[in-house]
Amino acid sequence: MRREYIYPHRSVRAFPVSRLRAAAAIVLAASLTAGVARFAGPLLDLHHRITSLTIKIAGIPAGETTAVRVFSYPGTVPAASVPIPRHGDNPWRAPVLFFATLAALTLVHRLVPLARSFILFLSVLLCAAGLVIIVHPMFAFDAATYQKIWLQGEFLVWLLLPWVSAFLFVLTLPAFFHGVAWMLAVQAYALFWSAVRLAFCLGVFHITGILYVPLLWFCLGVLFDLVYLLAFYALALGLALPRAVGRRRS
Amino acid sequence: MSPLIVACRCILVLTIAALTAYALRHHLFVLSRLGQRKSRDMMELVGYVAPSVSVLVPMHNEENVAADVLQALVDCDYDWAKLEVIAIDDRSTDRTGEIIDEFAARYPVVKAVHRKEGQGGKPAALEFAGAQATGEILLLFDADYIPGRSMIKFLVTPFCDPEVGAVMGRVVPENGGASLLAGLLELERGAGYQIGQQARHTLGLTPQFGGTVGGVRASVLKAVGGWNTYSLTEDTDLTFRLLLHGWKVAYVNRAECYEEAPETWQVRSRQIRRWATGHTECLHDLWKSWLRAKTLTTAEKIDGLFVLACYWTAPILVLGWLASLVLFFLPQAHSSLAFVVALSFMGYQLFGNQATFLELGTAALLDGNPRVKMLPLSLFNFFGSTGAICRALLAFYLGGLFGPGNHHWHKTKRYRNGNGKNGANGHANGNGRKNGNATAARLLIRAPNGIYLCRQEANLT
Amino acid sequence: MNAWAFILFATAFSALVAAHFAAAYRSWRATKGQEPSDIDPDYVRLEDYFARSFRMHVSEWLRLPPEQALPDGTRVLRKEGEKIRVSAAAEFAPYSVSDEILEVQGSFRAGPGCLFRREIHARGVARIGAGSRLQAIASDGDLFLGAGTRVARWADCSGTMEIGPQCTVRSRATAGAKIRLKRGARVASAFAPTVLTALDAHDPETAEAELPQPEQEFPVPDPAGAGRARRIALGLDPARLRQLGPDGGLYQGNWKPAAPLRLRVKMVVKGDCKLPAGSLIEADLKADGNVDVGAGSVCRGNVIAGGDIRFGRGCRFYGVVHAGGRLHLDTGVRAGRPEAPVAAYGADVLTVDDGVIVHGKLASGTFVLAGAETKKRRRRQG
Repeated sequence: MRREYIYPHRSVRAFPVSRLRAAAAIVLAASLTAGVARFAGPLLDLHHRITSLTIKIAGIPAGETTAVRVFSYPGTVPAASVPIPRHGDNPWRAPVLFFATLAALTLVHRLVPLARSFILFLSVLLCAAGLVIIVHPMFAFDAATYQKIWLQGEFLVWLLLPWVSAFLFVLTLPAFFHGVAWMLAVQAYALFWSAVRLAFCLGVFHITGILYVPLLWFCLGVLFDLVYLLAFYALALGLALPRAVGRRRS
Repeated sequence: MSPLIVACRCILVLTIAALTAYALRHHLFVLSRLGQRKSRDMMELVGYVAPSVSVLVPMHNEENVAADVLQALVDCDYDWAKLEVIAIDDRSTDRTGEIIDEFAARYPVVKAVHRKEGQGGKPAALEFAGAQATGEILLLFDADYIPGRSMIKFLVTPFCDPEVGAVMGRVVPENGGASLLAGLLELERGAGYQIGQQARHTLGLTPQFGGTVGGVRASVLKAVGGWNTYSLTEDTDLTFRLLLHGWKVAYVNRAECYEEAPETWQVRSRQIRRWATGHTECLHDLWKSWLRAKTLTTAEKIDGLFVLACYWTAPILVLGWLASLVLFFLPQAHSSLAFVVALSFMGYQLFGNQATFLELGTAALLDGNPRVKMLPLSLFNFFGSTGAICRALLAFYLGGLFGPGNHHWHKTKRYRNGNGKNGANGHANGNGRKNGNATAARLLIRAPNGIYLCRQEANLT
Repeated sequence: MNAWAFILFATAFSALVAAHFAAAYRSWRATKGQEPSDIDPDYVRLEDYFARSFRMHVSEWLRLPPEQALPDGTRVLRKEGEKIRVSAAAEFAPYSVSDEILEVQGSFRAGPGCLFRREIHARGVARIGAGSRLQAIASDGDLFLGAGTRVARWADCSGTMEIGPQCTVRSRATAGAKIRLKRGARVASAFAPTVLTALDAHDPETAEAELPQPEQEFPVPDPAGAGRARRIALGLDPARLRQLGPDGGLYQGNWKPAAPLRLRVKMVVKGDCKLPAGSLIEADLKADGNVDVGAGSVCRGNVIAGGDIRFGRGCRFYGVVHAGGRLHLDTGVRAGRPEAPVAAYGADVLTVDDGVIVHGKLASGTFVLAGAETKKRRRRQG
């Protein structure tokens, strides 16, 4: 009966979270977390298979599958075996790459004021790796170790992500089922995208050695989990906006 | 276990704890705002609370924007018998003085005050002009703001509560489309006001008086010792002194006012460094009395500390990140501490930071702001702010070691070319932008005392 | 290693990384230079804005060419998919249904059970039959809403509005002269020079009683001679009282003076406040908890509470009242003056007994409820 296009001023708009919705969000998050925990082995196995397939498509040479221990549970999981060269194999590679990268970062630093702190962040990571190479040239960071750290981080993300995305999507988006759909999509994407990122990192290390290990770990590792989460969140909000703004709180 | 690993672990634990605490606070604010109850909403009382008001507008070389703000204030819907607009020419070297004199000559409600010498900075100017104000309530606007017609009525309404010592409205960037940074700052401001300030008001915590688009009781200001002319953030300083004396700060979400957000990173960096330094100064000056205060509830004390220490999160984050970097390269750490390393990343990167972005997103949803899709780019703004804050705090603490710092007031750059037509009177501005509600413009007519009436009523009087 | 494969993969990967920011970047480009968020700088709060705006729009629509002209003089105009029916006077039989905006240039009468999905403007008196449902209505004369009528949005009239028993107006009810709320009527807010509930034959509408003259005062006129005993008689524990600014006090705890009191300073009570009958409150009063103002008291300042507020029988208040919880006006309460209207707001239900007269506004975050139902509630509460 009441005209639909009338909506309250934004200072008084509200999307109250009903108890039912809050309970549903908690149940969903708990179920997803429990599911990830229960099927940790198969999920990590699937992750490994996606990584291996990507490595193969990308033309990165890989040896026999190795095993790494990701916490005491889920225990040992398969990991790709990609050779990572040591500094000693080619002493010129690291310095050339280091200065080239630093030059590129400096250029971006000068051209993009908004990105300066981020460039500084990357530079510190690069310099830290450079310092390690100088101080300890024989320092080795093999693929198995890298994958272990990666999988530990990502596994914990998969466990916690349902709770974060329950808040972001299920509680705040006006339409409940859209929220649930986004939540599930993010969870699935987390696994897939983690595998692809890992493959890329291993490929880069195979070519360049350990110089970019910390840089790629910090940028393409858990920080990038935040990036795609934000991307999904922004997209979900952008799509929900016309409907949300037009809704009236009765 | 090596001391380095132990130290790094401790830093990580502290980082996770601090940032998780802030994250929980942000989540609480979002939930509170989403399910907002109207219990503290005083908007139904607007127009029924009419104390005498002095509006202070300090201006230092503001010839670009002076005409706009003064015209907007003159156009406000408030009884002129109870209103005075004090335009303060604070040691200007441009045409600011002439412009305010023109307004004073044209409108009896405007008073021009010229300050030729004395300590620099906004608080000193306010202290100088405040002595000449006659109103019960002092409202403050920076020169680059454009208050709407109902702004004064909105802001004075909460003063019907005898416990309210100060009031704060909402600031909305008008130049969000001017640059990427300005667009991101629009999202950030939205979160700060629509979620943060509103939630703190609703939950009875500590909304902050921001020094503009706000007001303070003249008697209360005097009782707490006036403006701190040495503070870089006199608004934060005043907020906490008011609260310590038992007054409260009210937030009026409906009292929205345009401001100019920084459009370039240099300007923004200076602004945020000033805020970080000022807040941290306040923290050092007031934390002991804050914790001991009998006028505050435990929740208020905790929230107040969160507010004052909010700029510490940047160096805490950086320390945590550096500790992670160290552990990353230590082989001994990998076998047993990768868990901690990974957890720390999640703690301060994912869980901690996403709470901030949750606020940004929720505010944009409530506002209906289409720029919400720019959210991922906020990460760069976040990195930038972190860097600027760390730089500011480093300078602050190192300055403390080597002697008192020399606080410089840097005026935030203005981008608008003011001609008095950018404001609330519905005229097109230089960019051809129209603002205002055409229906309201046709419906309303102004009575000689400054109050707006419906045309029908005006015909009868 | 297959270098080309890796280069292709790296390119695709970079594109995928960039894709995470693509929508953000596109959004920025799309909104670049756009107008800022929609603050309405021209907004001026008028209690009857909706009705006035509607009247203004109607006067513009009347200039549209008629789509249909009927022999009885009725015209039908079309405006963007909606129809506007313009007639002299109008009378709708019981259970009529209309989907048109109605512009009635005389009196308007609708029988019981009608349904009007669009707004109505009547230039004369408007009478709505019991149980009808309306979108919104503006009358240039008087307006009578029959029992059980539901108005989805606002109701306005230039004269006297009578809101019948069990009526509901979901938004504002505004009138140029008076609003009478019958028992069980509910509105979101009611604004008029006089808003009143059912009056007893003996209740004068305009008489103003004398001010109470309580013996006790706070602050005491002679603090030096007052002593602890006096302060305790006022219901104040001196250890919990402190000054708040030059003209106020703050009291930690509940405050319940034993005898009628004249309060001459602003007071903030960090608990509940219960004032005895016949008190005179000359400054602003605020309590974090509930405020109970005893019968026959007069409040000249504002009364604010975080919880409920109750004005006892025959109280008068002349400032604004804001309750974070419920607000109750007992029988015989008077508020404001015609030349100085006031506003009373309860975030929860605002209940108004019979014989209440308010010059100004009653508003609620839920609804304003008049009359007999409140007595039922009181009986239930014992």
